[in-house]
Amino acid sequence: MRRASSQTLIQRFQESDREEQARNESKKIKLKDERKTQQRIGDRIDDITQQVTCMTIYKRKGKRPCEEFSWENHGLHRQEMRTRAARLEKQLKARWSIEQLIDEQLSHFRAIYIRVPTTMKDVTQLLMPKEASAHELAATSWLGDWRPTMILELSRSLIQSSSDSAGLEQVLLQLINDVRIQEAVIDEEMAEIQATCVLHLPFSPLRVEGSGPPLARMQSEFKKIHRVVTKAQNLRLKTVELVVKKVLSKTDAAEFLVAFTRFQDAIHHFAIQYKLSKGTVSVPVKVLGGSSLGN
Amino acid sequence: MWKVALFKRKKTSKPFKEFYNEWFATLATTLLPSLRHALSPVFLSPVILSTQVELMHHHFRSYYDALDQAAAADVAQCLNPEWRNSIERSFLWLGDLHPYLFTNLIRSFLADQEPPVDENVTKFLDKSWHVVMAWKNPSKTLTSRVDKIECGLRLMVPALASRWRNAQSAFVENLGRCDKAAIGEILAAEMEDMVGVFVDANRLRRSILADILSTTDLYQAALFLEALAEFLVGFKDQKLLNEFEKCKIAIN
Repeated sequence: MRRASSQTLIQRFQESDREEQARNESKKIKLKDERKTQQRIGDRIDDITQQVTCMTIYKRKGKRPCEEFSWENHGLHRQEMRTRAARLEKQLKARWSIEQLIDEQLSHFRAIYIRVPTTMKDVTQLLMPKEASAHELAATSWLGDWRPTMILELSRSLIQSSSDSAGLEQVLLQLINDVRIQEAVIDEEMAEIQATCVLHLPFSPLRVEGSGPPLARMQSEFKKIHRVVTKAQNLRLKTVELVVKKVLSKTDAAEFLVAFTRFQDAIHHFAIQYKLSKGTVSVPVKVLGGSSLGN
Repeated sequence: MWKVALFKRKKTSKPFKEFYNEWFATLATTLLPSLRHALSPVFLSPVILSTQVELMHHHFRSYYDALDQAAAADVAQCLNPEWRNSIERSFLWLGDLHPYLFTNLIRSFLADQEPPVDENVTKFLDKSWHVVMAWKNPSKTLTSRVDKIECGLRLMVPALASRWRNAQSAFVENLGRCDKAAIGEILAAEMEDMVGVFVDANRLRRSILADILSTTDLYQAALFLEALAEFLVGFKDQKLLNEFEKCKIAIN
């Protein structure tokens, strides 16, 4: 019953809307007939409102034409203002919802990048995720996920193709430089684990200080890897947040997030196909015989 | 048996995983025991020891040669080798041992000036005087040669890391500029760059190994190779691997 009554309410609103629209239409036609110059103005307003709808935050084109005020076209002005206000409101809402969607997307990144491994096996899984194919990892991965400078390079290449923003590119280049240094620092820390700490594993031929059960010694080394991977994940997250929140405009940020996700998907799917076409990697038997050995 | 051998001879290629497993089995069950045997006082003959060192060195070179061949076929699988177990995978750099590991291992011998401690006494009792004393008071030439090798490495390793990064950056840059349909070509071009980086990383590993073996004397070289082989065999310890896989203890 409530639904029925509410439906009639909606219908009533729709009817009154239609009546008002019809009144406005007849008024428009009347005015059109009376003054042909108004039609030209109306066309121009339509053009402008069209522009407002299509306009991105970046691309502002043209100025609003100055219109002469007269009591005769007051009603038309009121009507146009209402229409424009409604469109502006829609645009504002769209902007708000873009911001909300960007935040939601960022929180997904946060959830992915701040996954906390609990066991040693989780650390290995983070470094070489099983769900990613070998080609996807080779193409994009640095300590288990997208290399931060690659994320910046992607946003840079998108900016280059979308707008004339030399200043923005300069900011991104500077950022790429900074993040590259941070990547190199993390690389050094990982190299220390791969080349020095690795020799502290329980089966090491070295006489290492400190002992304990083999598994505990192994855990202490995996704890170090975990610390480095966490740093890498934080750098990744910080990079995405910086690009989206501080560097790009809302529209460009949204475009970047869409492109980033699409590229990740495209690479993931293509890499699976590529691996299938390549098959299991093989070596010619003759190389194994030792004839081509030598340094 | 003869038929199986004939069949094998007819094959022109074999999966790298199969090659690797056989390579590892030879290292663990034939070459390492033979080298240990050659180091024992009952058997110690410089000629035989030298042969064993050369065989082991040859074995490592054959592994890196095969790895190069595999990388030319598909570098991505070599960078993420499924033939390595979970413990090994966590410590790999460009698909294999980090080059610094070789010099760190030799450094550990240079630093090891103390007499053998209790737990190692039995180990050293198995060895001749030459072998026990091999790393006592190493020559200044050897120390400075290791310094030089390390110095070279400190230049080469970051250069390789940056080539690796550049290949990945070029990939994403091209992807952003080109049509998504061209992804195959762009990926193939990146993989080609990666082959270059990977093969050069292997060249570096091979040359450090060769440098170390040419710088050290026979007994030092034999002990170094024994330690390296033991280390690689240790990674495959099935008992430890099982414990690792089953371990539910939180690491943080």
